Amino acid sequence: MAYSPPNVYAHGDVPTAAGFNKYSDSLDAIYAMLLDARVNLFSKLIQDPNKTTIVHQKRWLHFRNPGTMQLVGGSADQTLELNATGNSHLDLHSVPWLAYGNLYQVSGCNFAMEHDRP
Amino acid sequence: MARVNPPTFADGNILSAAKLNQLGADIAFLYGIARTPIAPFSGHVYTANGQIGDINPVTNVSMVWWGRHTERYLHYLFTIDSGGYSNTLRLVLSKVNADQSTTDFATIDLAGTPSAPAEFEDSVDLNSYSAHLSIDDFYMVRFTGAKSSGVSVCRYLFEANI
Repeated sequence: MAYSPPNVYAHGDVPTAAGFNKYSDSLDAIYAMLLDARVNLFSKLIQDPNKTTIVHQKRWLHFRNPGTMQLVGGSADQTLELNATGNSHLDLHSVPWLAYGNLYQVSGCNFAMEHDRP
Repeated sequence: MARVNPPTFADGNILSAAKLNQLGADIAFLYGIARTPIAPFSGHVYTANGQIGDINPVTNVSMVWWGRHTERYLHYLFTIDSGGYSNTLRLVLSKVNADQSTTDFATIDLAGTPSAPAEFEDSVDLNSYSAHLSIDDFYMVRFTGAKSSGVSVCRYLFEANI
């Protein structure tokens, strides 16, 4: 089934079977794109002065040892010191200049990865 | 479309336009996620000689990766394109403990003193190590050995549910 944009209803509209079937068709289409495979990639240990570049997609940044994160092409105001020693994580919702989809670089840390869980 | 919390229905509820539109918005949001391109694993080419996969000191980070355990199988492909090793080439999995120390929980011999051309491709059922590794645990994956010459490449390394 192809993806079919769900109907947008207004108060008083009568839901139809065709409208509900768009939900099923679209979920089938999404499943056909994702299938059953779930893949988890690894983070290469960072060897200074190399940097890890991340597209911000998930809420929590896990990292080890101090470093910095900076928006690619951003200003000095868009740099954040990551000061924790050892393993730590940062709630990226606390970084006001970072929006989902932004590209940023982490340097200095031994590794860095985003995850949806702290 | 932004994701919104899906509505909860109960028997006798009237299907309101607002609730149906929430369902539609979430499906559109998931469709957008599904359309996202998948970033490939970038192979790591290593040409220097000496010990690889040594995390003591941690500054020697050749052939070492960091992961968070979420899926059952660890897949890898490691090749020796030229040269070789003067001792056993191994795949070592090391759990990262709360006190920052690491504990090796799996040491898998790939070959003794291997030389080019050689290719090591396999998967590890991480459920076999459930006594040491739980979901969401952080661990290191590293290839270890004394590289005497040539080029070695980790061509892929990832966890998957299949």
